[in-house]
Amino acid sequence: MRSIVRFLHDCSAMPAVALITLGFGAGCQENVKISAYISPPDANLEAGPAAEPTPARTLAAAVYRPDSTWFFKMMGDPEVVATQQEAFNSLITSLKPSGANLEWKVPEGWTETKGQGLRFATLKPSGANGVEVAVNRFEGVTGSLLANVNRWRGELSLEDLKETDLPQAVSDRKVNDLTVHVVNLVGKRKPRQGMGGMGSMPGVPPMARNQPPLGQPGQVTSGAKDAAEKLAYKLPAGWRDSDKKVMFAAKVIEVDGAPSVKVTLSPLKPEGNSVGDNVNRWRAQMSLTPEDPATLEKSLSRDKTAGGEEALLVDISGKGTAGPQRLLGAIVRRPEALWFVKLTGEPTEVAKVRDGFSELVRTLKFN
Amino acid sequence: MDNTLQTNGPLEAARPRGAYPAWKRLLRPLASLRLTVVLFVLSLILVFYGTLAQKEQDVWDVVNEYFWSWWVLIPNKLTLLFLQVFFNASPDAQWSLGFWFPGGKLLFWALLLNLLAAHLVRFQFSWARSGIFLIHGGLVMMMAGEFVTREFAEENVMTLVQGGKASFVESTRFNELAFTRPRADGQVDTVVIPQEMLAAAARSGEFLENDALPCRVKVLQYASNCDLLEKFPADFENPATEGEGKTLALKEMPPVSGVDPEQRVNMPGAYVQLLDKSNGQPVGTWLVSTLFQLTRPIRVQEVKVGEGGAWKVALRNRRSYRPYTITLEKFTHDVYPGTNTPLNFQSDVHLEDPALGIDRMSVIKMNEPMRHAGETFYQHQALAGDSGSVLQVVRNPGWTLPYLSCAVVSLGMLVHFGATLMRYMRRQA
Repeated sequence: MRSIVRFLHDCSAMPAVALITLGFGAGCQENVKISAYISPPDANLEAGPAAEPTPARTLAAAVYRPDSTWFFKMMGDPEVVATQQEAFNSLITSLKPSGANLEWKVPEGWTETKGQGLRFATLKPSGANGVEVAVNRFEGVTGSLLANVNRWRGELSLEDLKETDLPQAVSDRKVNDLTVHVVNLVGKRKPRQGMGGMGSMPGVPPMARNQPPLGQPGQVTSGAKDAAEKLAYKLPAGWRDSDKKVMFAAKVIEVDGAPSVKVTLSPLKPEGNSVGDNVNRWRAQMSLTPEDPATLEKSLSRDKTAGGEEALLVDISGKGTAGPQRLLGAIVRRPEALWFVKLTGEPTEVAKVRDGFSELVRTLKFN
Repeated sequence: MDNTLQTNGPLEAARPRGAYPAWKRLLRPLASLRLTVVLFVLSLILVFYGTLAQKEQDVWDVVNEYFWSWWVLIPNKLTLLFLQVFFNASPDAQWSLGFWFPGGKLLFWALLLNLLAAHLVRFQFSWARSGIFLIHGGLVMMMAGEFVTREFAEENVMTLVQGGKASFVESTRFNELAFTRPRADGQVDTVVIPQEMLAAAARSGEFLENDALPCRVKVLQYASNCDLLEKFPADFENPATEGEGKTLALKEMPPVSGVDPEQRVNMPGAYVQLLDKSNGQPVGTWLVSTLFQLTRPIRVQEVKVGEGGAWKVALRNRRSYRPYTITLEKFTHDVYPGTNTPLNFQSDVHLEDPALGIDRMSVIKMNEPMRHAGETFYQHQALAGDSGSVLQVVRNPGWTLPYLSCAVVSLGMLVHFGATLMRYMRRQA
């Protein structure tokens, strides 16, 4: 019996070798030849719509509260948005504070669904094709009103406004102890970037094929993310690392006894991020007008980190959305990123922790 | 004397020659364990250089050149590249030439034959060794799985504009020069020349001729990857006399690297001279490129040759027609608030397959593909301006084999080590 099994085993491998050999040999033949066939018409691609910016209108409202920032935005086809303008206005006039959140009355015929992540809620009118009101809630102060209005303008291919233009572009309404900043914009919606994955694919204008994909301005580079893990510093007494999340920040630090003070350490892409432009970004957050970037950079005082890098120091005061604010900043140039150490808070509290900030910057080390 | 082989090790040299059949003696060198080790070492080296090569070459070129070839000429500059990156070799150094090395196909066959020969010559079936057989069987199955995937798996894309329908899929790796002309019945006469023939014709200078072709084709230049320049270089002599080529210049580009961070694909282009079949006279020279397929609507170039109306000529992604039709009813692209970062892509499609009596709606979104007729449809990309959707269409009849082979190998290891443990425990008892 054992001999039979052994014999069968030995024999079974031989046809396997032959079959696999034949199979591989046959499979390796390429069928390359000119071929002719009758195919269905190709109306799908030849008659497709051009990938041009489309007309769009945005109705948006921003509400700045001490601990949070709220945005209500409806963007879509101008004709469709026009049909929902009255309902949007009624939504805005129904806003009222409710503890840390806001409350509102859903317009008649609309539906509300709870959002995920940064999206707090979504309000949809019935029958308005593709139009909805996105309600977003952000912790703390999220950008100045000018920065957010310009963000919305940018979505519609409109040029940025200056601080002085803001009063004409924004209508401030007092609603139930709230100040609601409302904007009404009409422009052209930029085509969105594809999903990526396999590179240039149908739909991308030919001459843009070799251009890099759109990135998020100031987005953390992957190299900077790695660098964040190697970042070392010594916290002054009473300062502590926080587990709070702030967009693009690698580290968040809080200071005992100074609740309004928040410190963030953020790496941004080194390419296309000049020091002067970023100081202007901070100035905008303090409601200050921009200045010449090159002059700004030259005017900054200098200090040294523990790693020997030069830190460019910023100290500006202005008006934030929650009242008077002061910002202390340090910018460190590294090959993998520009590092921004930013401290913001009420001027009196910032003055108390100013020495601690200097101490923190001097202990910075990028391993 | 017991002639039964009772060992897992190499045949003892002391065994008398008459102890084994002649075929086993012939197979004995092939069954060598030393050969196995050498083949594994060669495989490791091949994988190492194949990985390095992707720094500069397209991943599919590397697969074909290194792993699906009998021999490969490995350039010395790859070794230099490695030394420059990891051992601070001089960046100015230049190493030319290269060395021939066994390709993946040769190593694969050698390993397979080595394994099978080992079973024929050295191994004897017994329940105690059934684990080893299972492990080796699983490895063979894994190799067969790669073969099935290589030969039978297809990865294509289906591009749909909003409200548009398609009954064909397109390859992202292969291209073809297509001549198309509408017929009276609404269908389209199509003649296609594969890219391999275009590249070969550009090298040889030979004409491409076929009864079905409306003209003779001479490929003046073929670039496997190109860009189109709107401004002609100073010393550029434009070969194109017709169509888009009169205002655009072809610029040959290096092939897209396998480690390209943007994961682009090669976009070939060519200058093709078309000649009248009847008198051999040139009709004109056209610039063709798959880049023209990226616009919406796509740029169409007409060619007036032969009889029966104008043809359209285009270098396009290789198409395969299907018996079903998919219509994109709605495309949804959600982003994270305040950013352009995609949150959700969703295609609501209408699937019609008359042959199977299927007429249904389906939703395709990230991680929720649609399956039909042995193919899986994944949400892949969005067209610019959200004007449509690109679905990845995958057919892989061998997709279960890697899972099965891993299961068989795992079972084999369990049996083998379980049996060893049992034997050990029995001896200790």
